[in-house]
Amino acid sequence: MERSSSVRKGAWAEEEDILLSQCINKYGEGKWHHVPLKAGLNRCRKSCRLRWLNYLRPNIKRGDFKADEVDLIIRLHTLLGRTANDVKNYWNTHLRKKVLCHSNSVEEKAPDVAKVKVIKPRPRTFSKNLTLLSGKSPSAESFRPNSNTINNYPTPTSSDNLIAWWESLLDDKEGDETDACKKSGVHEEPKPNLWVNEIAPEAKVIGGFFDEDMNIPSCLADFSETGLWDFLNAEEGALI
Amino acid sequence: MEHSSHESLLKHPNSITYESPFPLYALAISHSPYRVAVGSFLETYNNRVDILSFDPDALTLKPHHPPLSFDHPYPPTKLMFHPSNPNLLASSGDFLRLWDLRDHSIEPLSVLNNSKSSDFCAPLTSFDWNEVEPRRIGTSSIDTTCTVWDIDKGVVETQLIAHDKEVYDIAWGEARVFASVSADGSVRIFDLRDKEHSTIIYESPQPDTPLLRLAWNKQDLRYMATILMDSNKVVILDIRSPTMPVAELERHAASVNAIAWAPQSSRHICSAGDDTQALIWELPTVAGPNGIDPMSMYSAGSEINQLQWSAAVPDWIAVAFSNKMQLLKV
Repeated sequence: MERSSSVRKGAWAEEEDILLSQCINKYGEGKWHHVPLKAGLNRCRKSCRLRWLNYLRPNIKRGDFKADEVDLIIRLHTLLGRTANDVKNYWNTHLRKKVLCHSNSVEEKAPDVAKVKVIKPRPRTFSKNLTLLSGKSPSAESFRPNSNTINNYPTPTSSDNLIAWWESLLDDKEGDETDACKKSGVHEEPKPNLWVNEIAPEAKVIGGFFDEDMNIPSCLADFSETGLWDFLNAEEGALI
Repeated sequence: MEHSSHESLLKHPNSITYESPFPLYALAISHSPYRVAVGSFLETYNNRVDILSFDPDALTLKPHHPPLSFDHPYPPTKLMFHPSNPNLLASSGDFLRLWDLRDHSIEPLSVLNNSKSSDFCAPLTSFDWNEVEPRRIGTSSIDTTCTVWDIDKGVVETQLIAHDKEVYDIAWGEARVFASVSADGSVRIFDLRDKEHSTIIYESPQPDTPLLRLAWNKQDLRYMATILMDSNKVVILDIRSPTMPVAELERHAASVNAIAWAPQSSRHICSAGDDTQALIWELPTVAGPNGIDPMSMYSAGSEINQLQWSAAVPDWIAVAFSNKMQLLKV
């Protein structure tokens, strides 16, 4: 459409921004060739569209690039090796619609994020020789604190603590937020390994696992001969 | 070990196959009406979850009719149905999401997003639905944290920095006890009554060898199983006997990818891996000198990436390999 005067170039004035925004809000995006006329703007249609998309649109993120954003840009740029223009074009043609649909639904459905206090539990470990299976006397339970200090407390029997710990773990009571386990001191009492698996020359019955009262449901007591599974011969010595 | 002919197994009454247009990874089975959710594994943003119907009497496994599916951003890392409600499905990936399966469609119920900025989140590697307290779901993330959600209220109950590196799996033992495994090579147990402490019950012998998966024996809570990265061993742990495994099941010919305890028997566990085998093991009261041999074995057509042994259908083991999902009758 020919104009008698040439279109304005250069920086957009605030009044122009307002006119353009009002026009888009009224008529929606698109039909950019009508926009200058409807908005009463002396600007070319391409300029109107670019001004809206790059500056006036409401959901544009503003502010300086944050450190993690910059970091991501650098990493992706190095990784992709594509030109910025190619990335932009790929985004617009292939990804924009699909990703925007998803992010909209995320924004609608995500609950308000209340401040959640993040707790870092201190891990404790047990020495390799502490086990309840043998009934032998215990050795140490030790803490591995985050800092390098080790707590020295007078020592209640460590195996009691181990028993207390796993029993409390598996009981059904919903307790309140108190220490379920007591701390104990640290002292080593080296013991030989009590349970060996493949290496022992003879099987040791230590009260191994799966003792007494295990009922195998009849449906598994013999896996039915489906012909699907290859049944491997149990050697007498290997399995009981 | 011979490989059974794959074609003959497709028609075998004791194995049922679903072939998908794309590679599959996540798998979940619900209680009656026995829906099977399968998640795609495409290395792209656009992935999807499809719902199949399993009829254990007619022995059919086919897409739900009318079709039920939803798009999912990035491959779902895990899918799981509510412990008792077959209409409620959860998925993990970029976020924990809940989905409502209706007669003709699947509606997104909620997106559980704990991140401070709405744009970035740390991907979730896994999650577990607490069977005793179904309002609790625990998630594990690459940001070293585990988060316990109250999904009824849609809020975080607790977030713990569980490990020193990425957390790869999480499993509930009790209403308020869970365990997790990590790239830092440890299995740690957490008790929500005592959030200041965790207990390391096992660490990989080579320091910092990641532990990839964890399975807690729901029939006997003393026992757990875990697998190390790039290892053909299944490590069986007794929490009464920390740091030392009670057994190491070493019969796979390649890396193990998935483990599942039998839902109805405390002594049986299944494992599957890159050697294309699924092995069922019966754990003995006493181990022999040469280790433990598996009880039975199944050969799939290719590397098995996923294994589920659901309490809903305890007679069937579900495996995923390549773009197929199979139900195997035990």
